[in-house]
Amino acid sequence: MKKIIWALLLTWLGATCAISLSVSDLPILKLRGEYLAYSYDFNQIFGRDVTFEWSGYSVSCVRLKVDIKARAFHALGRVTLTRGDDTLLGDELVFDPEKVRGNLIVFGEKIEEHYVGEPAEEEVLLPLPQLDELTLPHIQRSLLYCTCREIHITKTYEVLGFEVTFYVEGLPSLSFSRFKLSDGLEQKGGGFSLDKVWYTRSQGLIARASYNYSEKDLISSFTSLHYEERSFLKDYQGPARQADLLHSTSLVYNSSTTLGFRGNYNSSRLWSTNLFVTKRWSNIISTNFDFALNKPVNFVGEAWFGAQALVSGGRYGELSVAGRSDLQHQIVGNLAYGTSLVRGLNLMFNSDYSRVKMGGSDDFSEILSGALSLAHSSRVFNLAADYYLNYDLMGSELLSRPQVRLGINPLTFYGGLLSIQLNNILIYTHLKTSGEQEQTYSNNTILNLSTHPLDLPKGFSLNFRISAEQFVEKKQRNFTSGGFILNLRKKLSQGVYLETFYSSQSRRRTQNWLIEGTTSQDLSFILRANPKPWLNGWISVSYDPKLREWQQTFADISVGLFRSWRFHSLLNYDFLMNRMSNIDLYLLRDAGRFQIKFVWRSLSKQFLVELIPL
Amino acid sequence: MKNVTLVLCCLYLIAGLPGCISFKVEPLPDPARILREVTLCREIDESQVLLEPGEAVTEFRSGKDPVICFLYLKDVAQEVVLKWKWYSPDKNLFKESDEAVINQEGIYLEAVTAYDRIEPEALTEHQGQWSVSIFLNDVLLTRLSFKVIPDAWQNQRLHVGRDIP
Repeated sequence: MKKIIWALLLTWLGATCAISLSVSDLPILKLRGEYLAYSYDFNQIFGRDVTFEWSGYSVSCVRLKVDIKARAFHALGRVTLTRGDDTLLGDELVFDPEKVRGNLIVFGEKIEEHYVGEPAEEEVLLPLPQLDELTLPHIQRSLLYCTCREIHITKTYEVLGFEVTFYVEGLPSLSFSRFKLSDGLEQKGGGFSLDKVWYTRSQGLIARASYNYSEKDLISSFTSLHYEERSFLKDYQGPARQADLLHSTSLVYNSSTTLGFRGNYNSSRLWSTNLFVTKRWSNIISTNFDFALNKPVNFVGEAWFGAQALVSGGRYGELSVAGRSDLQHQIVGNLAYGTSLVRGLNLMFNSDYSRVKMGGSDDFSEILSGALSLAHSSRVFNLAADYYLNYDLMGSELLSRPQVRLGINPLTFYGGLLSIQLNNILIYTHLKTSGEQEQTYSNNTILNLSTHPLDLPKGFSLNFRISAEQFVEKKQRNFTSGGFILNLRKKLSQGVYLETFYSSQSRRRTQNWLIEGTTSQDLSFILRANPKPWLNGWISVSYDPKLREWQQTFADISVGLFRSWRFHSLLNYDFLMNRMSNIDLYLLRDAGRFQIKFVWRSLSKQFLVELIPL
Repeated sequence: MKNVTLVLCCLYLIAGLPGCISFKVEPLPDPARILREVTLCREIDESQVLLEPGEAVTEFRSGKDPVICFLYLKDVAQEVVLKWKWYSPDKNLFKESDEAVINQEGIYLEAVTAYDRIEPEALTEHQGQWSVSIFLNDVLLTRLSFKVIPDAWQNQRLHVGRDIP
């Protein structure tokens, strides 16, 4: 219990620190209005009769729409921009509060767009279509939203509200004199953040905090701590608690040189550090040198020196050479080259060499591997030839595997009615092990032929697909398979369809004189119903014509209840066992940033409540 | 110990939240005459007392689908004048609706539905990104964008695949 108290206290202190630091950010936009509403679910603002200062103008408008996540700001209706004696009028203002540029739009005989802001730029801000749906009822459908008369938006896109009233499912709740409405975490320039505090019965208490510090063109530093407390969980087998500390700092020495440090510590006594320097010699050549100390769990620590050179040769391709060595004589190296020879023809080469210790012993493994690929792609087909080599220098084992892949892109005939696709892959493998040699090969060909849905009289539509596959290999485990799927669909009424699927598959395996094979058939009926936006469901029944017996039926029904609550059920009846196999019932609430889920499962006889971040 | 835990939990929930709870803040009244719904659709159900829009869409097939801009206003307590302005992809005014005067008596109406439409034939020459602006008492209420695309069947015949009879 004491640990829970300490964890709560720590998170409270963290949250308070985070708030005190974050609210010090200066606002880039101060909105005042007769009515401002902020949705936590959608991270959006809607305002009525709003005024604000922007780009030296005093701006007023009838409606304001803001999408914080999309960085979209629209003022609508009788938009007035006043600066001294200068007054601009328009119907809509699309603006960027950070870069101080905007587009004032007038809907007259044509759509007239006027650039506003400074300095003048050619780029015109266009209205974002996703804001079309942003209305006050949309905000009020949120699980959590608030209203106020003043909102500040900071540089890091945190949203602060003043004299705020919160609404939960549309019902007025607590009021606050000042409230940080959105944390703007991902855009935060610096400071402490409490990223997550979470409790589940299966995982215990989880908290994550981070500290970020950066100065432009000088230093960038990020530290995060992830902590899990499980000591109070019943029947938990793992460690009572776990902490992960991660740190990364990069220091800009000059315009071409960067120094950096990365460190990671885990409470299971696993840690690693890395010190690196990156130097860009020209637009073509850059190098990276690093020194790393690693301490894996239950193994001796390692100290590695590494060097990497990257050559960007433009049309001559890109070359990368990298090598690392440690004090225990372990070595790894990599050579990679890629270029486009002519249009549509690409060459890739990659080779690795490693001499590393095996587990905790003093024995080494020494492996050389390489891959070469030449690929051509065109509108009609793709052709690639690959060669792969793996040479175990200690075990004297050599594997080489060339392969050729050919794919014909879907070809359509008769105005798109018929589509055909062909793929073939040929693989040859040569394995040489201490004097013994083994050679194998295989070839696989797949052909697909399908039709575009054909509209038939009386509301029917038909779709047909046939496929064939031939597999041949040296070991004579050859097989040929083929099958087809017939799909007949009938529209019964608006949003209600009845579908029938009939499929038949046959597979023949040949080995020397033996031919064995199987065939299967399936007939399914599916009734899909989506007559209204709030009602969606389907029910299916499957029948095996070969065995002449009904198989099983599935039903999936989703009904919108009120606001954004939905009832969802999954049912499964097994005709062979003659019983209901499974029933899953869900009550769902989509709340933009997360989903609340009440679940009952018949199989496990469990009732669950889930809060799932989206 | 349980009491201490409870107190600390309460402190955590109250003081840990970034702000001070205030009981003086009055909830703001909803702004009157709000736009409840604006939808672009292909059909309207006129069988009910209030009009009902069909499925909301943002793409319309040239020469096949009418473009309907449906509006649902809530809590209308005075006279309102609605107008739709349709702009083609070249940003020129394509159509301006007549002014629709609603609730001249100034009585309270719980709900008002209205729409304006463009016939499919008028779209054949103007494929691309359109927009429609809706004005309420000469003030821009909202603006929607939609796309007029070639009819799917025509599209396949003309552009998809290589015809090899």
